[in-house]
Amino acid sequence: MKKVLLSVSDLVVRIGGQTLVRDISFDLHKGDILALIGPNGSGKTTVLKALLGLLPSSGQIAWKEKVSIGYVPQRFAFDATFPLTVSELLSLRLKEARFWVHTKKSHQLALDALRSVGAERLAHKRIGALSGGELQRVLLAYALISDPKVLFLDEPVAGIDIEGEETFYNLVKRLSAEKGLTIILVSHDLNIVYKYAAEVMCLNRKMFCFGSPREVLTPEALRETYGEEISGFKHGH
Amino acid sequence: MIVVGAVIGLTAAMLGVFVILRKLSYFPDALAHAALAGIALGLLLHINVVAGAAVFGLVMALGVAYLERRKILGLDTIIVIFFSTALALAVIIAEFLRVSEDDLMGYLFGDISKITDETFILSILVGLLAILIFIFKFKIWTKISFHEDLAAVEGIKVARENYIFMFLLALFVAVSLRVVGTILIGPLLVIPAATANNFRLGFKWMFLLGVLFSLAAVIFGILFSGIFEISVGPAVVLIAAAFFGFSLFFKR
Repeated sequence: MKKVLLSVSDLVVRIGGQTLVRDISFDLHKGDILALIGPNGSGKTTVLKALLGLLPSSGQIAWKEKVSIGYVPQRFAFDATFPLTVSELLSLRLKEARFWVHTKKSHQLALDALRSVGAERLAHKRIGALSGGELQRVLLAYALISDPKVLFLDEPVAGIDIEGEETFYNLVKRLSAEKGLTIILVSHDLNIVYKYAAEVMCLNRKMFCFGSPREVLTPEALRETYGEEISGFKHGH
Repeated sequence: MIVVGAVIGLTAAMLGVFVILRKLSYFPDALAHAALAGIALGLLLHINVVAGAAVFGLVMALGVAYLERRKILGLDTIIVIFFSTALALAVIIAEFLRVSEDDLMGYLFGDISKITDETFILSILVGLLAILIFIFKFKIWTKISFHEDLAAVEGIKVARENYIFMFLLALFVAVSLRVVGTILIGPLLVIPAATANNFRLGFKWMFLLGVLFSLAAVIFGILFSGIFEISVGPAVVLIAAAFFGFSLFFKR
């Protein structure tokens, strides 16, 4: 049995008098990939941000050991004039590198991180000139360069074509196996969840299911989570 | 005078890069108008006008940062409300005091000949303070400019850092008012950094070029204002704008 890394009980996020999510309780094991699913506005990103400490919450979020965290945020519109190059951005996270001094070592570390996500050719590109898919890879490299133990991915492939999506998750799965990463990701593609996630949480303002996808993603659980719109999904799958 | 100009130019370039990255280009203008109210109040109460300007600027920075965090309104809207209120206050106090037009023009467009020893020393101290803080905060502020949540996950106290940045900006605006003038401080912060970014050479170069353009604009601006007997502020901004126009040809 794998060790429990994160134990969450009765998590509630309330902002401006409104309850965004409630009744979230689960244990996450070391090395697992957990997927949060649910319709738009169901609170997936909210839960992720609460776990990251970016939103105020009540209840318990207990990490069983001190962990370093990498985070790839939801795709955001990036200003095309943003001046940093990819390697400048990555060097910001290297403790041993001073920004103004371009050492061989820091350059190598940045290149290694980019290579691990298949993006070494982007090193000298400006961030503002990257395409959506390229930016996601660079953000993943930015998360990985500090050697995290836990990775949070918030719909990292939204807006990327299906092949790009597959490639991205294959990459994530390989990295998770190689480095023993524990991963929490938000997705609304159930195929991805079946294929890659060890655990899944169905969410719509509160938790409707938690467990292994093949066990807990029953038609009832999906209907509860998504309403009627998706009840035909299982038949088509 | 050139020394003060150089310190102001250097500080403006460093702060200006972050003003642009954070999309705060309106903010220095707003601070300058708050500072104008501070100056008017300083004249009314017979205290140092730079101190008055600094205090008013700080209060406004605090107010803007606070409301922005509460996410009640967009930053642009908050800034307009503060800045027009401050300007209205400044004008009414000035009318009440019967401040001469000449004095007022000096504060609006800069008059380096009227700079006092006190202001001279203050400018240099604030400049040095800004450079020092800057060296320590450079990586942190760059990370925040890139993505606030990513910075926060790394353990950076984003709100605190934003306050420090705005405070520094407010101090800078207050001490450079005498030289550049209220109306032209915003452009001095924004134009050299924007010019440097047009070359699209990455962040380090944006910085170095920004400092270069800013220093050149301020120093030549002061020299030309002496030679042609024109105000410093407009001379500085015209030179900076000329560099900007020139940089457009290099834009890739």
